[in-house]
Amino acid sequence: MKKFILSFFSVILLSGCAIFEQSGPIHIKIHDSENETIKEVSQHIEGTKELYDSVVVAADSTLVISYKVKHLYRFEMKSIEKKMKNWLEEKYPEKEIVLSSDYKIFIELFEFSDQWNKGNLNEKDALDEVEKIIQLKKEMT
Amino acid sequence: MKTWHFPSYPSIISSGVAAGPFEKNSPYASSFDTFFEDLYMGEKSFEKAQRKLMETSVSSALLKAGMSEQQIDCLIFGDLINQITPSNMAARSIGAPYLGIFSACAGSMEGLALAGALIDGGYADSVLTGVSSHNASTERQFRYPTEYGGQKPPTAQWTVTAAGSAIVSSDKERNALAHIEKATIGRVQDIEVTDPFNMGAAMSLAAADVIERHLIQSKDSVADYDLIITGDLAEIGHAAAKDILSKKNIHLSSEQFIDCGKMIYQGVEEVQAGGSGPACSASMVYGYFVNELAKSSLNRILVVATGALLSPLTFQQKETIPCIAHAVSLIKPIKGGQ
Amino acid sequence: MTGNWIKQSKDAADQHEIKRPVLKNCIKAFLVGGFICFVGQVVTLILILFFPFTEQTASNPTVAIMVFFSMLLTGFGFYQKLGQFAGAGSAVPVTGFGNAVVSAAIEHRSEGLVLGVGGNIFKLAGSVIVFGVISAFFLALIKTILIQIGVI
Repeated sequence: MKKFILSFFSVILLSGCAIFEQSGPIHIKIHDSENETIKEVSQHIEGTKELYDSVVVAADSTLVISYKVKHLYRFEMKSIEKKMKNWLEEKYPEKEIVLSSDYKIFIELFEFSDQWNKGNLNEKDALDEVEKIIQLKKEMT
Repeated sequence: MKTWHFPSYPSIISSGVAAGPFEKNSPYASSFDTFFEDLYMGEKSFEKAQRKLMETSVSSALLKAGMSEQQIDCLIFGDLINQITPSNMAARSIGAPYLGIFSACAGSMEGLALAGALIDGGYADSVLTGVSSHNASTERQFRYPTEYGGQKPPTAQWTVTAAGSAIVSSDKERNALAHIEKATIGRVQDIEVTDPFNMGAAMSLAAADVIERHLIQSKDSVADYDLIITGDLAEIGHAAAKDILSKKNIHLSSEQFIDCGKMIYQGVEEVQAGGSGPACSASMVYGYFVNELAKSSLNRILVVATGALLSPLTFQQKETIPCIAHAVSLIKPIKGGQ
Repeated sequence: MTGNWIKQSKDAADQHEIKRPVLKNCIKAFLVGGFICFVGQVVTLILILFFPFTEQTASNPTVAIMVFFSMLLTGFGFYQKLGQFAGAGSAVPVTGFGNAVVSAAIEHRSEGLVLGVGGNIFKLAGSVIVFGVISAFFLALIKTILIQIGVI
């Protein structure tokens, strides 16, 4: 019984640590024309001290960005998001911006990038996938 | 009211104690007659289980006395539940004339005192008196549902799941376990305690008061009693009662002044300050002390059952807790007088 | 004279009163409450990782699952012991709410389903709901007024 409890806890603790691991930064562009945008955005994120991991996906007219906030700054998540959003909107007024610090969005985007890099997705599928993630993000309850 | 003297010395001829599963942990478990394996005791509700406890203790008392229900002239039962229904229902199944009493946990000694009075007055030849309490049904009525995870303070007391009954008889031919000698009916005392989790403290003055009155009115001294046993004052109330008594110039040693509530769960974890409930004093007195008297290892004891007369309504309405205590002195069997 | 004895008795009782071990209780409550929240966090993570829930949307099903856990624990008679040990630690998380509901339901099963369980299930938790709704109403009212005035 004791062994069981111990192993249960260690599994949980170890899997817990995995969440905070850095898996990015990852940049995905569906069209080559977005190279410049992605570079700028990721540079900005790296320059922000509160964030530590990011996935940036640029598709057609939308820019999907997911980032992780360092644990100490989680209380300021709202203001960080606001700042980011303002910066992005100012910089790319013609684009629809989807910004999220949600872990679920992050792993979905990560998975998507994996698929994309492996070449499993064609352009249409990729856009559908991005649309799905955006829908997930907009879901409230 | 003066102390009642019973010159005919009504005899306790037999007793029966039935207890729940938790009481098996009690150091005095060997003096109880029947145990039940679970709190429901094969019944559908805790209230029915309490009735079953009562009936079981009555039947083991009858069995030990070799008597049938028809030979009982009067039943005096009491308990804590609304309208003392477990007692009423138990009386229904026995079918003898019945007096229902309520003075909370002091019901055990009120019943015994009344039984003594009925017999001494010649109104009955054999009286069956008993009380019951059930932890879960009492918790449900006075506090929270049984499974509710509220934290109890260290002053809280654990309601005993048990029933104790005794047959009191005027028959001098029979072997007695003990005789009822005197009884003092207590006055309601209120020391303005409002916390229902601290009933022991609330009852301390009532107990001290009745002990003082008993000693003065019966012209006894403390030394005349081997033991002065309080019902369910538990840790806090018992210590407080001792202090009050010593302020009243009645000095008792801790060997002489003992408490059923402290004894019944001695060394049992989970129990905070001690046991409570009418069955706390009843099971200890009818199970243990009466047999000690029968063995002549005790000569004379004074049992002071204490009761907190609160209801869930009164303490929610911020009323203080009025308390009562009744004292009955018991003596060992008079040998040779038979 | 009687008044005198009441006071003296109360003093004697106070003198012997056993105080609640507040610090010890706080530590126990902290540990147990923390553990319950930890379990809740694990449930949230499982929901995020294996089901289509985001951090936002995972909270409601997590609450439901935690209440379900406390329901089982209550039914098996374990929550009561935990409650005595942990105090606020087990009462404040949503599991405490579940316990309050379920314990009342179990308790009043003997009076039948409609009048017993139905009538008493919110005996303890009812006030949580009532005051939750009332405070939510007033907060919403204040917020609406502030927005109308233009403060926010």
